[in-house]
Amino acid sequence: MILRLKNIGKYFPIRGGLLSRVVGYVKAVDGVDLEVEEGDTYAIVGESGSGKTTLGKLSIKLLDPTFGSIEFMGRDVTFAKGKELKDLRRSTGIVFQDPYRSLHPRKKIIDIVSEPLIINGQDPEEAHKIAIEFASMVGLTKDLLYKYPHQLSGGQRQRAAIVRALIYRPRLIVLDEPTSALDVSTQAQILNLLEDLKKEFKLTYILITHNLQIVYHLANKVAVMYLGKIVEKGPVEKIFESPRHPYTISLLSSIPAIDYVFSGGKINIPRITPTGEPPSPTKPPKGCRFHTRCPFVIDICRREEPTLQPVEKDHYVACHLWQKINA
Amino acid sequence: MPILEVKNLKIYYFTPSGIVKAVDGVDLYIERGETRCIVGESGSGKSTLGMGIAGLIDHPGRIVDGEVIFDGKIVASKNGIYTQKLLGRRITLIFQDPRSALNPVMTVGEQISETLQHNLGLDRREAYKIAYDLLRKVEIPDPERVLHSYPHELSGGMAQRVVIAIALSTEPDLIIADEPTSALDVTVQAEILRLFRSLVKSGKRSVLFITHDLSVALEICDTTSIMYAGKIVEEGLTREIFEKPLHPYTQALLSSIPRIGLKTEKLMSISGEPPLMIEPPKGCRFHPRCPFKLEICDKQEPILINLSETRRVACHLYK
Repeated sequence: MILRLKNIGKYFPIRGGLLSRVVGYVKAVDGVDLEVEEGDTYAIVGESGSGKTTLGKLSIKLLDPTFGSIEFMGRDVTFAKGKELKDLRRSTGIVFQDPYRSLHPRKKIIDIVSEPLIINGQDPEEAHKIAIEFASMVGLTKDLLYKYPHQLSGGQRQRAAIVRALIYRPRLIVLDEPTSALDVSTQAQILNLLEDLKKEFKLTYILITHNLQIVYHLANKVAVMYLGKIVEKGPVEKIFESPRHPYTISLLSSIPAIDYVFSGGKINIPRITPTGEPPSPTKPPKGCRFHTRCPFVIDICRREEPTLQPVEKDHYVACHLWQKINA
Repeated sequence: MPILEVKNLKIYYFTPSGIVKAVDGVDLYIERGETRCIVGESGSGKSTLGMGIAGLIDHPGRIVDGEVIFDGKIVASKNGIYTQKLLGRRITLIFQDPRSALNPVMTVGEQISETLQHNLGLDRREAYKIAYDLLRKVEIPDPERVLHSYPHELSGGMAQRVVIAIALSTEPDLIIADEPTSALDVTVQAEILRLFRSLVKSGKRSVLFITHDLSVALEICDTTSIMYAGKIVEEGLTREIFEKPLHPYTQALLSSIPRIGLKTEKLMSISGEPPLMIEPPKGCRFHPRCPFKLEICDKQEPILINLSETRRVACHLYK
């Protein structure tokens, strides 16, 4: 087990009024358990406001949790400081959605990607050498390294961001929507690259995305988030072939029909359209958080919050009605 | 007679670093009641084409050649733009970000009724009544509340419904929709696409639907034109294109999308990057990235040839 999150949560305070008093909380992540094995590509899917990015940041301690614990490679790092935190930083990396905003605009690519090494006392010349070596592995030519971010195309920038995340040879990389700012033809290149690097460096990925096609292609496990909670998790094949949570089903049925044309009839999802739009995470509905949009809602859903129940080995769902729903 | 004819349209941007040939000789026909998609990646010129048809090209951009003919009359060419009287009435626009299309300091009711008063000459009371009906038509659950709301009080999906309501309010002949669902969440996107399709089909309107997403094209459009580097490289019935893409670019585009139910080791990808439109490649613009490149491809530019009544392709492989 490389990463274990136990009942983790992150509340962001909302301040208001004359004295900037805390008037409420955005419960971005609200009690999540997640176990990531070495070699997994664990996808976290959800729509905007579901808390998936916050969960990604929590899992490598780029944010401190409000409650719960983080265990990384068998060690509790929830309150890691000093050397312990530094070690954690070296073993983890993150790639953000928009490489244009995550790369320093006035620094050359080579300085950006070798910075993590130099900060940690590596000789700059040596660091640059390593950077050039890594860059060639991700398909960035040497001349591109001496340019500024705005001189690169979106795909090239994302390759640079990958080099920066990779240069320490971390064990775990969080990929936060790594291709959603890219065109489809470039997206395919980056997805292939991520797959190759994973093998080459024996990496574990946490893949945060709203794109289910990418989940199916890249991941072996998936957790579906809705308003700060995991509503269903399990192996990718299980979730795509027999989803149990109405929200998972509605996500799957919102994929345009074309993508099922190629599945050879193996996957056949009924079309469920949830009514309305996700409520605000500042005021999640009582009971099951999905009940305001769920087409199957019954009385208990409005009162009691369902907990994650095992459907079968490794497949969990949080729904009062899961035994009656079989897509 | 088609409602829209675009003939050899060329729109260039005259920038300090050079002339960007965003749209470089496009022909396009849209029949009444037809929904046509323009599919292309960023920088392909698809949005410039949409704006050009609406006559909304701004400095440093300019129409340098060709013409846009709407309902039999030339409405945009290098000699002048005559779309002002049509816009908002017979031609309406829907953009990606609904909040930037709405006026932030006017309530939804004021905005819709203003459009109606201005364009259809209704009085305020009538206009509000029609606005209410329109909001019901776009399936807004509580029209009364939304009429008195400001745009920032609405979610993205709700705001886009309002924009669609405004675009439909004058019963236009042509709707130009540029990535209308790309900023929305997937479940909301599916819902808006369904709504859009049903409203358009029932109204017999013509639509030019601009998107980067081929799967959206299949959901929405009768016909599709694929754009690459300022040119249309292939067009046909949307189904035909999906079942048998002809142009190597279309083929690569289709097979580079990961598919659910089909686990593959590697995705097919297109090598390299789209060209800079300041200096597009000679000959066929796709040739530096094309796996089937022939000797002629970097010398002579292929033209769109008719393969059947509906199908056209611009590629030297098809003669």
